Amino acid sequence: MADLFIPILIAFIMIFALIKGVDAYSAFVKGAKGALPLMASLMPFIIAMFVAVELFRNSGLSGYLCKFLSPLFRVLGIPTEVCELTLIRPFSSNAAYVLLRDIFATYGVDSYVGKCASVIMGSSDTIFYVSSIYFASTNVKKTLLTIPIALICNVACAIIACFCCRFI
Amino acid sequence: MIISSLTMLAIFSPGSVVGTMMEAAKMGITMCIEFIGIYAVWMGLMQVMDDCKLSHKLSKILSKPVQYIFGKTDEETNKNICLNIASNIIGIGSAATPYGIKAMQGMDKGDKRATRGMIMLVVINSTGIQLLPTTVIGMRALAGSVSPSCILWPTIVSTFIPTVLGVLLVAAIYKKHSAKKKEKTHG
Repeated sequence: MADLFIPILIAFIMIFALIKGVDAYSAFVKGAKGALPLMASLMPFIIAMFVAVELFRNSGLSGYLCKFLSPLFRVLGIPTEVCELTLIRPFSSNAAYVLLRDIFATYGVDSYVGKCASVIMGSSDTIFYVSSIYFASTNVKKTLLTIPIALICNVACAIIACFCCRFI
Repeated sequence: MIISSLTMLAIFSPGSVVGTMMEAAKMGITMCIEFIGIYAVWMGLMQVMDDCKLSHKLSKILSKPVQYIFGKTDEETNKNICLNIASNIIGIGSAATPYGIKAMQGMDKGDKRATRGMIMLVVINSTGIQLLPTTVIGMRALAGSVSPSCILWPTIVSTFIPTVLGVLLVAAIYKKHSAKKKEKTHG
């Protein structure tokens, strides 16, 4: 079912474009052209994050942190293997992509851990980044309970993600 | 984080520091190249959706629920919030941010404290209401998954429930705040 969804969606968009009289080809090209400049501007950050994450993991620090937190994660039903990803996700999506790729390589994309990691990655966002750019544009100095609420939602998201993945 | 990692490495295996860093940079570049491909395909499709005014249509549908959740806002802000959420839903995160920022500025009354609407918008945005996890699906396909999009419904469920939870939490807490404020003005 899910495998059909994306092809159907793409077909739907194309048919919709045809009806609306939009030139789908040139629109696609116009959009795709943006990928290279976007990636070029992101590249330094991705490399910096890669270096930082690899150092963090090779030094064994993240291993200790996860060992320390693993009982808590077990209670919540989150596999220990995605512990690192859950911790890093609110701070940096680039760093989280690094971990996701690593999880795919180590445990396999279609393993339970691989699926959990994919869902967590897809359904949460970088809380600290989002709230900083959004509030930066206003006069607000006190964000009140924004961050705590967002973090609670993030934990809920990880728990639900791992629960749902048991059924696929 | 980096400093403590470096100290640990320097103590236990000083020889591996530079090797680790270079290996990581190499992996970073490989991922960037993969990402260019993934982004090119999805950004192309999203441009098509955008040219069809699909996000504008979606934002019209959202207008009523948004008014209900955010309470009183001016028309411009309401429109920006709708476009922000609509762009997020169909996965144009980069298009969502400018609308979100405009909406934030629209709700800004020069107050130093965040208002209910602002908190609501940031919480909704940070639970990531994206219904199409495009990048993740692309990465799964490249990693050789038999079914890259099998994560679709769990993602939708686990993005929807926390978003509702967040909205409810903000609504509940805001009521307390306003009650307190009222007490103060009455007193």
